[in-house]
Amino acid sequence: MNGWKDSLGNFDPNALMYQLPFLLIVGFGLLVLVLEAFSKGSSKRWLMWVAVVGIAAGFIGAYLAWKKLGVMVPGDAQVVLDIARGAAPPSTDIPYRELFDGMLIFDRFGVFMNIVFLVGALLTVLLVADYMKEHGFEFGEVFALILFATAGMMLLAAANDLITVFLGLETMSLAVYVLTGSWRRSPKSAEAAMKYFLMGAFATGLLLYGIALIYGVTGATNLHTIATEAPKVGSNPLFLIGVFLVIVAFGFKIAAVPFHMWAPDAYEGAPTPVTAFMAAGVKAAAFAGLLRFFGHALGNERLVWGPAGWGSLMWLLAIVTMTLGNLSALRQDNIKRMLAYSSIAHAGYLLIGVVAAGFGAKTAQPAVLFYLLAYTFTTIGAFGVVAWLGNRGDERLLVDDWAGLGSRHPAAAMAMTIFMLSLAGMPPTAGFFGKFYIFRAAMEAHQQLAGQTGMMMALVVIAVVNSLISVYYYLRIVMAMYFREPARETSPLRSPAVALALIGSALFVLQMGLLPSRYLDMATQSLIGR
Amino acid sequence: MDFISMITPEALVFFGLATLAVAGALGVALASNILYSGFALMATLGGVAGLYLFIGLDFLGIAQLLIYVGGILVLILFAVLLTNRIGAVNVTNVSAPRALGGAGALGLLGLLTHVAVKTDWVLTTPVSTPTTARIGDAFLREYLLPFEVASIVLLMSLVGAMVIARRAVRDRPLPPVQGATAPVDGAERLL
Amino acid sequence: MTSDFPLYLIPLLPLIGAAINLLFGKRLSKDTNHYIAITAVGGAAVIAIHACVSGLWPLWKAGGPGTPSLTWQGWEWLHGAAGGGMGETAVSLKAALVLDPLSAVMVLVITLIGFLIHLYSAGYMAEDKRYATYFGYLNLFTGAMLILVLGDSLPVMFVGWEGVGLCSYLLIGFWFDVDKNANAGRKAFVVNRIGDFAFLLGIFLTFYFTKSLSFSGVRDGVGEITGSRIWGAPAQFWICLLFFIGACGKSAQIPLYVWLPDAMAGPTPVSALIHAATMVTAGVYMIARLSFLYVTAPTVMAIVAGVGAATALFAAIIGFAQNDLKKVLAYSTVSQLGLMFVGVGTGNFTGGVFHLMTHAFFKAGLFLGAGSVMHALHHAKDPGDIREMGGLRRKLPITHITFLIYCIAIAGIPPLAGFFSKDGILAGAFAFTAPGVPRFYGHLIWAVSSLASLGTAVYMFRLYFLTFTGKFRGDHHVETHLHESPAEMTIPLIVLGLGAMAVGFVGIPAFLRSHHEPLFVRWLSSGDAPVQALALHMSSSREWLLMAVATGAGVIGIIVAAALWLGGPRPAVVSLGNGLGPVKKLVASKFYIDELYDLVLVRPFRWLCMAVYQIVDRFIIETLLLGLVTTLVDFSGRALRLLQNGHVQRYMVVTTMALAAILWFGMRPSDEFTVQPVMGAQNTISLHANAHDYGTPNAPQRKYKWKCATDDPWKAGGPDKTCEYPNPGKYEVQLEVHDDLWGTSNKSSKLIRVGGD
Repeated sequence: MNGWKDSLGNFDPNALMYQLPFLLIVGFGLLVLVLEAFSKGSSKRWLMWVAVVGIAAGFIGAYLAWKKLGVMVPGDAQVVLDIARGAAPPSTDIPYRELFDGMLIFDRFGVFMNIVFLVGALLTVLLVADYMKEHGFEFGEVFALILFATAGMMLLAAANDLITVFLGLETMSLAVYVLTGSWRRSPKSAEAAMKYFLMGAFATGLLLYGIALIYGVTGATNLHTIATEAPKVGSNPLFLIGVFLVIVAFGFKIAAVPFHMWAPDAYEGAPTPVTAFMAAGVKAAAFAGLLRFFGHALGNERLVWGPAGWGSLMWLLAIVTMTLGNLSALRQDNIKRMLAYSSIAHAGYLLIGVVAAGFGAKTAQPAVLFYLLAYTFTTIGAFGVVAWLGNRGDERLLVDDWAGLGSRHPAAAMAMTIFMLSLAGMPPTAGFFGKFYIFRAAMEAHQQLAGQTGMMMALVVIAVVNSLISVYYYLRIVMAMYFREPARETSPLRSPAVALALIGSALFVLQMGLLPSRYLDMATQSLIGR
Repeated sequence: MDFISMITPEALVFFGLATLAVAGALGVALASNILYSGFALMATLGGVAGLYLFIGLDFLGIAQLLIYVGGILVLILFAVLLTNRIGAVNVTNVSAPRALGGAGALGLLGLLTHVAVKTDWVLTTPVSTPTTARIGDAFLREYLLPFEVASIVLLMSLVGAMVIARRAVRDRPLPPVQGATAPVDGAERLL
Repeated sequence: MTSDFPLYLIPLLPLIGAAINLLFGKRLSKDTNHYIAITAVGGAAVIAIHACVSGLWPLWKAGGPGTPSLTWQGWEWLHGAAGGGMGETAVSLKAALVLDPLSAVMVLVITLIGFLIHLYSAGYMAEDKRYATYFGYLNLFTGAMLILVLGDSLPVMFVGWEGVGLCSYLLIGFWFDVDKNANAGRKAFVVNRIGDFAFLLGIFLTFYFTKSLSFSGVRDGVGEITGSRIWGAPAQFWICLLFFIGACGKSAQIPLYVWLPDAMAGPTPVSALIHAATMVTAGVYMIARLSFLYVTAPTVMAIVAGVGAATALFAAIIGFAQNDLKKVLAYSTVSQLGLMFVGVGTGNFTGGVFHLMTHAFFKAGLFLGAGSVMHALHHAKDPGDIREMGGLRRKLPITHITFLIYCIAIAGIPPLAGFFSKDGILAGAFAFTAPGVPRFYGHLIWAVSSLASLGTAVYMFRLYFLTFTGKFRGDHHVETHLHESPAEMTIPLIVLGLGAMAVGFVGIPAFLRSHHEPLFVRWLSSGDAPVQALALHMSSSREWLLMAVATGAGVIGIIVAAALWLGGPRPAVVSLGNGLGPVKKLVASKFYIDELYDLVLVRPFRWLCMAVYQIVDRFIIETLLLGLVTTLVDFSGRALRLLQNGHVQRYMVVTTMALAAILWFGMRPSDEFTVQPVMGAQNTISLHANAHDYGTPNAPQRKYKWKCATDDPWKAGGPDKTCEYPNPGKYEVQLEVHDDLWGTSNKSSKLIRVGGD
């Protein structure tokens, strides 16, 4: 497929079309910065609309890229239909395009992830503006930072080279560190930012070390060159260490146990919309990277498994992450902390998908994509309700604070119930199908292994037991809202933007539960290109 | 191979530079005075620059010296000296179980050393051609994208640093409580 | 034979009603609230009747191939590929609804009884603050239950299954200002999740084998299931067992019944609708729906019947020890559900569903009657305590008459509804035979179930006599306030009473009708046998005998109850120390008989009942099992919080150690290897050492030695090895891995079988 490859010599300006969402988001980020600098008024709320327009433009860009990628292979519609119906196309038939000497790769996987990030950014922007205003730390750069972080995520999702992986990860992380500490008045916010930054910097160090070792052994940073070199270098311990270090660094970003310890503190201290952004966007981006490098490039039964393959490590991480995440969440009285642990547990479920993808389960990549989209809506929605409930520097974070919400604010309570049910994985919400598809993919991987080992089956059983445990703490909130008398007065945010974000996410969560096929079709068409 | 024959001039230079870098790093981590930490960092950065030069990376070595030792480190020291209240901060914050942490770190070190020693390294002789042209070429060809994206990362870091560090003049007083406005008397209502 | 019908309207109407009442209900008047709710369910009932009468009935009359059914195609819900190694099948699942004879029975029961209970609620809940919310939940429940029974596939059914669970939880805890009620709701939810877990696993396994989730697809793929084995047992054994565990949770069978008695914390109409007539029967419905699968697993059938019979007897015994009106009814429900499981477990699926239907009428009636009684007694300290009642028949005439009818029906006296259905189940149990199940097993089940019916008659009439006959034993103040309930409460009672008398006639046994199959059986078992019917091979004389025994059990039970409790409880102890003269003592000597009777029979029996209740129910299941699980979870949660103490340094330490551990263990060489037969070559296997990672042909620092059999010498080789064996038999394969880097050498071995079977 060298014909598709570009280098500077025959650079095709049309190819920039694929990068349109990224370029638009960066452009609007710069625009926000400039407007912020030259604007006179004290309120920066209007910049929210600039960011919203930018994200809308990003959606259009993603749509164009999606279309353009669709027509690259002749008879593509049929191919896509076949994939949707379950046929297994050879991976070379999936349209993709490499740019910048293989630094980036554009395929529908990336576009789908871009859409996930844009959804996350849009909801966050809608939530954050009035939240900041209410709590008295309004500043315009926040929108630029959110857009830049989104651009970093997009870069990560399109990265085809460890250098771009690193750059994308850093662009995203640096912006989120700052966002975490942006509530200057709150000592908890500063503490959260400090912890997040320290642990994140540590993870960056490990990632660089890992990349260096992998480069040292294979002489390459390109994912595919590494994948082709990997069988030759064999069990070179340096290569193994490199791979493990990369996993650990990603483990930090997705908050997998035992690299999760920053997460509860950082999630609790950060301004709530930022927490939502961290829980959804950052995690999704890291999973995009994991899927590309591990689930796909290094995905081959022999590369995955074995005592030192990345699969057994991730298998273990998945189990520990799910179990400890859920058990810790059981005893939390602070809703943000509880949701933080819940988000850790969800990383565990998603890791199952990555392992399954590594074994070549055809349904695994779409399952993870679907899960990420569903999870983005759900978790931002849940944090959004938390953000909506607080006022005047007084966040209502204890479960007790939620007592009686069902009778005071039935619509918000219903939205929160929908989000909780979705997080618990109960039908008819998006979360149910997210888990359903992930488990199904794991079962497919189990079949691929042809009975050599029951590990994937064990993973599914543990995951199901875990999702049972999780029901308990999600329902605590539902119970508090409906089954208890109101304890204190509430005066939640009066903000059309926040209401829009909450209603929108609740509707999408329900729609993805009632009509999942449409989204699954889209995810099934979004396979990794090369 | 006997021990004496291993002591070549190259080995001496290498181990000298490596010791400088490692000792500096230890100093950064262990010094209780933040100013000493800053100076120890200079040793580390200098040692690393020396190592770059030692394997024939002329541009990288010089850049390391100019940017890190000459620029960033000086900034750090200025920052430390100009921040008047930093002396009041207790920088030795001992709460971690040192034995466990030490064991973990030493275990890791032992493991990596073991692997490094046992591995058959692919050896190449360093070429002593100037690398500047190649680096410049690479930046504008295959590494064009990282080069450009790095500028975004830097811009964002600047903005972020500004957001975090600027004085809180923009933190406005909280808006009034909703629904709890001050009582309005008749005269004001007339106005 | 199928035709299309907009079936979605049936669940949609209640769901719309729920949405209106839950979102805007507070702003509407109470009248509007219940008009909306009642109209929604009434509308659903009208559409359901219309669909059955003018749609399904003609199809059924016409006969012809296939199951008569009305379908709504819905939309494509999920699709994708199934299968891995062997090739792939496209799977597509529609969110479709189907109304066939089985679901028609359920839909009619749900909408009609649901309608009556909504009507009743308008009177019963009139004073409640959260009136709109109540009706919203009740409508939501009705919609979910309709989805459960109308669903054309396991996932759609599961959606309804979870939906009714949620509503049940919300309604049990409806009066949450009392902690106990909220806890009861949570308990119901948690216990049900255990069942749901099994149900979900069952769905996964079914899909794994049949590659289909719709009922018709699963039926077509039954061959795939029966041809496979898991852990030495046939696959259908595990699948049916898992589904049965799911049913146990929802339908309150041993050991998962514990939530149902507590569920009485909810409002009484809720107990009537959800915890007597509809939701708790979902398990029976599911097994009947999957009858084609269950008939392939006789062992599970026997387990189902055994658990059902045990539950029936066990709950009947506990029923004696209860003094709360609703608690007695709750255990009675558990007991009757046990009988239904006896029915489906003995292959008498139509019988089980028949009892489900008749039970829905009289048990809903009993609960509503109890509600009416408690409504009248609402000034009492504990309105449900039957020791504080008595003589209510004059004050509450309508309630009294209808309650008596229900009691006769549940006791199984002909010709009321309960008689026909219960008799059918007992006869079916007596005749139960299945491959691998001993002949006497059916007789045993029959005997236990008959004993349970005897017990049912006794304690139900104990309830009746204590409540309605004799003198009022409660507070005088309470007595003056006794009154009959308003019309919206009594009308449902009367209608249900008529139903309890009439519905039994659709299932008159064959031998009474010159050997025509009963209408009900013909209805359910039409077409491609959607519900397997039991063919009874018995002489009519034996059937007469069984019928006489069943009726006799009911009659004896009533007589015993009358002897003990008619007109109020016999004064068991006459106070001897109140200074009465010896003459009077002598006169009173007949009470010595009572006392003796009490001492020898009644008290030990009561103690036994209390002991069973206290030890098994409260202690073993409640305290030990549930307590243990919660304690474990709780403890681990506490332990984990210790690590997470907020110090970044500690986080760093944990991270470093984890990293070191991962690298250390991840890089250790392993001595595992895999064995695979070589295709096309006789008696040859290929071995593959996992110790070399990333598929490299020769990891430089690792040396492998193989041994194909115990007597062979060690042979050095690479990570792959092929062994040939001249003779079939058992061999031990050994591998030794030596690693220079780590300085380790590990050995492992595996036993293999070559050739033969």
